[in-house]
Amino acid sequence: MFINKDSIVINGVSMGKYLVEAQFLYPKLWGSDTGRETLAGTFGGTFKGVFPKLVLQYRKLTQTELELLSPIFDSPFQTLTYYDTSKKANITMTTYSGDWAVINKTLGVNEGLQVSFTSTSKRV
Amino acid sequence: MRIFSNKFRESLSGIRELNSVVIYQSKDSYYILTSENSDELLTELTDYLATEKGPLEYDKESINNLNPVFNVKLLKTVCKTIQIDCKNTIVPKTWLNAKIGVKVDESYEYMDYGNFYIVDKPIYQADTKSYLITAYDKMIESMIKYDDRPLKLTYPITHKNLVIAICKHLGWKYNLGNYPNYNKLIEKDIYIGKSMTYRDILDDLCVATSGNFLFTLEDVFTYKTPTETNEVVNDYDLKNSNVNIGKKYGPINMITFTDGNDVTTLIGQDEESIGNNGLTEINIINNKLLANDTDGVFFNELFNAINGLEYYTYDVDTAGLLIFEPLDRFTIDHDGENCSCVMFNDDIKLNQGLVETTYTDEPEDNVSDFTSQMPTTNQIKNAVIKANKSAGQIILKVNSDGKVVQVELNTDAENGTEFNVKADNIDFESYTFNLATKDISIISDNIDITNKGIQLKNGATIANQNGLISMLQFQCSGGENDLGWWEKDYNYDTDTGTYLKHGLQIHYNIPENFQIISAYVQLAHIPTINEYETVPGTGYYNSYARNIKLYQCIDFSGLKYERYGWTGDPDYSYLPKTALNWDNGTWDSDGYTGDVNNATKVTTGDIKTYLESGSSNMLLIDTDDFSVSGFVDSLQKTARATATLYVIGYLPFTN
Repeated sequence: MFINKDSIVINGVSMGKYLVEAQFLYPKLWGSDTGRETLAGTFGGTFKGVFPKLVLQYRKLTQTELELLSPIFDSPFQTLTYYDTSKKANITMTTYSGDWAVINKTLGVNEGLQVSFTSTSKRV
Repeated sequence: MRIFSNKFRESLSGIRELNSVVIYQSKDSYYILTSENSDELLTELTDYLATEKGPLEYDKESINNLNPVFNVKLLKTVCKTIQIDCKNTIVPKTWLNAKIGVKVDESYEYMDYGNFYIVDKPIYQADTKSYLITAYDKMIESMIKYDDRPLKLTYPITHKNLVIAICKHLGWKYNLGNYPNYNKLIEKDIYIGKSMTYRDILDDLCVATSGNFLFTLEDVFTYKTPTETNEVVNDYDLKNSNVNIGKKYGPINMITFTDGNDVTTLIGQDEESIGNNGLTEINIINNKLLANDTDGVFFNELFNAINGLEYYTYDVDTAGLLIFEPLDRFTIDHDGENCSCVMFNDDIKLNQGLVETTYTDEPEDNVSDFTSQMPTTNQIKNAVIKANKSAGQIILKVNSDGKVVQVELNTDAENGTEFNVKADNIDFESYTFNLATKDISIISDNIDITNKGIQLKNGATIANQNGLISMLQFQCSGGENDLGWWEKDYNYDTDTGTYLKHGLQIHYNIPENFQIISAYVQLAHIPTINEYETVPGTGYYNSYARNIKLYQCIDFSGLKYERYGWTGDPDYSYLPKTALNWDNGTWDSDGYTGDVNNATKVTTGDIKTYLESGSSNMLLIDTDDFSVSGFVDSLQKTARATATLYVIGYLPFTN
């Protein structure tokens, strides 16, 4: 949950002032034995955990701002801190990021962009 | 069985969270590896935080795959193994401990799989950048040659004390109890110079216990037989593939021991159980302890202990059980059947998911794979030679697809000796089958061949000391002939003006020494239809003989044939001139009178008392004293007939 402007920090950079939207996703990962695979037909399997994922929608960034953030986006792994409502605390996790792109329609003006960050480990 | 909470199995079924832990000590650090990212382990395993073991290296999510396995064979030592696919390598000669945890409520409940020793260098797997580590339980320490460091013991020694001596020699803790044969004496060192390992020796000793030697999770060497846990595995545990419940094996009711020469020297069997349940046999091969057990002391107690063991065979994949140890007995509830099973083989695969495969097959022959064991050069598949010294019995048996050939030698002080052969065909290819001076009897369901002869079970004797049973047949001269008062133109005596009778003569010859059992005469009487030709159209006459009697010639040399027949009874040449006893059938004291319309056959009673060996004659003649008034009359009192004498008896054997 985005509770204040410093709720999301990536590699030490607070993202609050650059964002227009933040999605907090909590996908569940299941083991290979998951399904209705018993003779009784009950659903079962090994629950591997919740792997939090943040999808951040950035506003139009200036050249200076983008020069600050793009190394973070380019890095395969990040250290990301966010406020987790289940844990009722700020959670710091290692994430990997999705592809990102800059769109220019006007000279020197960057359109807004979206980047996703997914935890490499389950939430403890 | 491992100890677990009431909620453990419930938490394991359905949706579960699992973790695995491997703990080991290196030279300078203490390692805890896990498959999951779980910090709570640090508090659950506080014992391992002791600083004297060096700094703690806590490496979460480093285990890719954990695979504990055991395979138990009846009457053998058990060595459990584990394979770990791990991001870390662990150097050989390291002991590790492995656990699998299931999240129960908010914390993991761990099942301990014991301690394992890494013998070989882990295998690096470049594709996954991980190491495949294989480790064994403490039994691996017994895989050293006995001859290099033999035990210095004073014999005789009890079985248990020998086992304890080995445990002490190997530095093992032990808790053995009083297992079968624990107090039996071993007279000498039967293992020295045999190129055996201590494991081989423990395997050899294990056979006599009727159970298994194995290590507890606490590394204590112990003895175990199938042990009931009262746990039930049902369709909620079983995967929907590879669920095979086999047939019930046992109850074991026969044990045989076969030595290195493929000769079975010891046999124990429960006849009542075999009769009730069929035969279930375990064959023990090449056991050195039993090979020296000439009096069957160890063997008998072994048999008594294992007699009656039974369990179902099965092969199932489960969603995970995790609680069972080797030889735990449990119930599989499937398809409305409750099958009592024993955990002989278990294979737990924990990676992204969990599958536990467990199975039990029928035991193979208990073959000792001793390194010193000489290969059997003349062993034939499904062929056994059993020599039960104590029972005085030798059995040669070959079985192929249910076809059995068996030779059995039995001795019994009270009942004598037996030589039993079971085969589809018995062929003698020898040139001489000499039974001279032997009193041989062959007794079967249908026929007996004894010194009394060859007898059928219906009472008939085919041959005896008097000879071979035979039947002699003598038919009357001329075959079918006239019988009555008429014979062509010769039946009228012009001198006396009377008509003569015509009879049937049977000439017979009974060999010397032919022992007559019975004899009878059969007469076939055929009425005739005649037309008197001199008076054409005067009519047809149905003709038949009357009061036919049988006469015996008692003086063959004085026999004369009256060509033209007899006017009354036969003359002096035929004695006695009285009728034989024709009480059988329609032959009565008045003789037999043929039917006027139909052909008939009649047979005399037994006339053997009138017969003797040598040549003689019989005569059948019409004794009707009704005077014949003319040709037509004589014609009407005449039939066509044939008579045969049958003599049954023993034809003597001649050189």
